[in-house]
Amino acid sequence: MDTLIKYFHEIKSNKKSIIISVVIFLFLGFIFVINETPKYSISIAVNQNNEETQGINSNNIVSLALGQSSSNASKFYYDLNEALFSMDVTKSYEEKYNGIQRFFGGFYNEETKEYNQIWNISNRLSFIKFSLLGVDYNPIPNLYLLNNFIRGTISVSYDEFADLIYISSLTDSPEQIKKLISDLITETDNYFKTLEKNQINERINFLTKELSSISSLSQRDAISRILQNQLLKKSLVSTNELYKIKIIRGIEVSEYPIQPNVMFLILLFGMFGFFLIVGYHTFNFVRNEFSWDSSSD
Amino acid sequence: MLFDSGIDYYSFSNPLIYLLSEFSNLIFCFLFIFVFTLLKKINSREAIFWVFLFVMAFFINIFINENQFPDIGGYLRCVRDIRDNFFFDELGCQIIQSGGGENLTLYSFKRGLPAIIYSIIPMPSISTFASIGLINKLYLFFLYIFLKPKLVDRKNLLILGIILILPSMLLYSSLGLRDNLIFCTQVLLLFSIIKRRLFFSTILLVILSAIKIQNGLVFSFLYIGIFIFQADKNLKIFFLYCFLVILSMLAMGDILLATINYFKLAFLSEDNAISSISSYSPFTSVFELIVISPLSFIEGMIRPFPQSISTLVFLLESIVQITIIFWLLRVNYKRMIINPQFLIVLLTFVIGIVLNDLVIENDFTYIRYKYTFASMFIIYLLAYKNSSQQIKKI
Repeated sequence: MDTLIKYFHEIKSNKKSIIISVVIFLFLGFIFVINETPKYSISIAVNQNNEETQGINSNNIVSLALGQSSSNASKFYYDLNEALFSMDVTKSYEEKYNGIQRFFGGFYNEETKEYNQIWNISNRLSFIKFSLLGVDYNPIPNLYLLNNFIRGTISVSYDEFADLIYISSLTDSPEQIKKLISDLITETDNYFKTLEKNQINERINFLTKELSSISSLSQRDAISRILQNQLLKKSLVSTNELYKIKIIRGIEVSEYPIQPNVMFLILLFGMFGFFLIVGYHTFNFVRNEFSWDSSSD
Repeated sequence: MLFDSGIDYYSFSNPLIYLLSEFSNLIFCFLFIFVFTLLKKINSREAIFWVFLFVMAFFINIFINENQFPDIGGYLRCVRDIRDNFFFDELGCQIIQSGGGENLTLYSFKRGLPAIIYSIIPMPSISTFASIGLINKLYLFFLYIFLKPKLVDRKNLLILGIILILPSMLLYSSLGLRDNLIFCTQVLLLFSIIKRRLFFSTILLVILSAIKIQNGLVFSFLYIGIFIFQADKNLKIFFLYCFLVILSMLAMGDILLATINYFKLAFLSEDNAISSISSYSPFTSVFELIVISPLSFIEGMIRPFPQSISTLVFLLESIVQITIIFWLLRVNYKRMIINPQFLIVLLTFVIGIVLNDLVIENDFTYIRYKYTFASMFIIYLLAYKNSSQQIKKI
């Protein structure tokens, strides 16, 4: 107990250095904050189009067996996540909107008509790693880099209480990213359309044949209803309207930057300054006063 | 107590903010070790060991993200919520809900209560997942301080040290997940029930049930057995109690089966491991459960079976756990098997392992639930060994 009291006296006697350290780090925090780029928040709320929730799958059965109703967005969240960040969607985005040029245009060399290599810390580390593995590494802007950029810029989250999916981003180029999100939603929906187009056609052919071969009135009625549904889907697939993704709330951009959080960062620096100097004095105290041979009770 | 209300959490992709936050937290944790060393609750070797464990927790969290543990963010959000408003604004801290539309909504404190317990520690920053991980490690440190006088012998402390560095314990006590709280509550509850402290036991059982209802039910067996039936006093009463439990299991067979099948299905659904409804085979009778229990216990103790390097590591951990249990049982084997207190604790441990083995298919989820029971039982054996040695000396 005496040692503990001595320790508190030691800390108390170093009050001045603690205050100086906190002030220095608060100042460093201030310098850090004024050098930070302001970031805006962008978000859009989506869900699965109601037309697409019809029909039952294994997940619905599991949900029902667990006493839950079949979920709309929870299942679709995984589908959307996979599709949005897929290479197929990135490829079609690049083909239609020239994404590499839009985001990595600064690396384009007019003389060679090729993109220059990007050498940042991450790429240098990757270069070392792949060199060790004997693999050639060429960090030029391409589809993979664009895909990584999309993954790093946009995040998709699911709110189980609202049963909605949010596509959001925190960026210093709000207009560019707003356009990126909007274009990616269109391309992702087109991707879903492409996947289902052939299936729908096959279903329509099958149902049409069935309809002509069945004589029972009730069966014809049932099949014609399914056929009607498939024809409706086909009409949607063929238009430019969104087919599978339903926009619940359009893209919104915050009026002012929401990052950096000035107060948080300055206080974080100050707090670090406090604990750093207290840690330093504690270390000194341990070195000078504390016997390493002491044992517990 | 510092966090950025504008952002969910900071990860290592913001290295400066991450390091400033977590170095402050780490120094704060070291101060606890230092104070307990000065108070002579731990010696310098133990202090170094704990410094190592905290540093490990710091490094482990650098490599962890929400994709690996989807529920990791929930606890952090609830802690921030309670520190911000002293109230849970976020629905996820008060209720659980699955699916959309007319879904099933239940009041649940599985996130809220851990958040309240985490809030008790005045950790300087709660901006990353690592912050909650370090709080978890601090709780484990306090548990060690609590257990130390009960183990006394240096060999016992060495075994406890080994348990603390086993992969599952090292991992889950370093992450911002509730498993470490479950483990700490279980150990405290076990000692509290054995010492017949009704008030504390009731509070701890309520806490455990609120955090994890399955484990609360397992411990109800021990709680009722000791406080109501006094089954730890006499072998006859112990067997009578077991007989009554089996009878009530048979009487409530449908409810029991429905509950177990429900959890089995729920775990499969949660892991997205159920590709079609045909792959799911429910339990059909209580007899089936009783008959497969011994096999399930053996399987549960060995799991996970080696399929990859990571499962091999956890298999080695299982082997270490089994070896320690056998080694500790060997010492007092003859006295233990006629001690009703040991038998009822053993049965609680067996029920915990069997129940988890029956309902959890995913190996990594199983490891997470298994370690709380396996490590708790080893700690009980260590304390038992120590108390029997003291009796011998007297």
